[in-house]
Amino acid sequence: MTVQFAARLIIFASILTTLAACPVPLPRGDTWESRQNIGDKVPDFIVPGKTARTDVLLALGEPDVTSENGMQFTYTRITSEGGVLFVMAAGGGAAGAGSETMTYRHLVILFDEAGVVTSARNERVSCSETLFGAGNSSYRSPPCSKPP
Amino acid sequence: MRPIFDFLRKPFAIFCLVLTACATEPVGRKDLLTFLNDGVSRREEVFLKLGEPSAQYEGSRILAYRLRKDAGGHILVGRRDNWAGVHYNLMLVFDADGVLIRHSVVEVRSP
Repeated sequence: MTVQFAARLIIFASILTTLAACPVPLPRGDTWESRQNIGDKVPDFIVPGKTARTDVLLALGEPDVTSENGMQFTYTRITSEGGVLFVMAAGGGAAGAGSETMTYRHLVILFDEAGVVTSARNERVSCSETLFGAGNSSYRSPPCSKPP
Repeated sequence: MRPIFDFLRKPFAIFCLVLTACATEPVGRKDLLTFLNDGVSRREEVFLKLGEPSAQYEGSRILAYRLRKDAGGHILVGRRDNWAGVHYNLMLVFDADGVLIRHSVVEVRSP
């Protein structure tokens, strides 16, 4: 009975909080720290067996992740698809919580010993990240997708 | 007319102060990359003029520098974990003798 009461109380408090908070829409677009020069497809100039690592670097720039032996490059573009942040202000302070849908585009390129592309693939992952903030502190869940 | 002018003098001064506070001088240089010539420039010259690269590949055959752009031109940006404040990647390829053979300026984020 006590557990049921506590559960109801939590649900009721959550509903009240949601109703009392101001929903703030989060903007769409590439995140402030993301690169933008990666699309949904493997670029046409990358041809396995022909394209050299040098050509990839000259066309796309530094990869975001390089394997230790330099035989795998990963380029990642992070885009927000929007979300909502519920903000509550009371007594001179403010707190907020919300969720944001993210799209991660990972372009993974593998090279052989001679530095020629052996394979290239594009992985697109959509997932959600949570945000929470109160006073001067804030929290964001870790990236919901990591480079393969 | 004079009292009205006096009345406006203070707000005008504050307005000018606010404008000055917001103004930033462009610090970019238009000539930052003009010394780069394929077949001519040497790696040592690049290090001397641009400093430590943000990344190196294939030994130090390929160097990468990060750049930002403002009204004045390009500005070098140091190595960091993400692309915040970066607009371009300067990629430089050298031959075995350390002579620049190819280079490109890749737009990573739109300025």
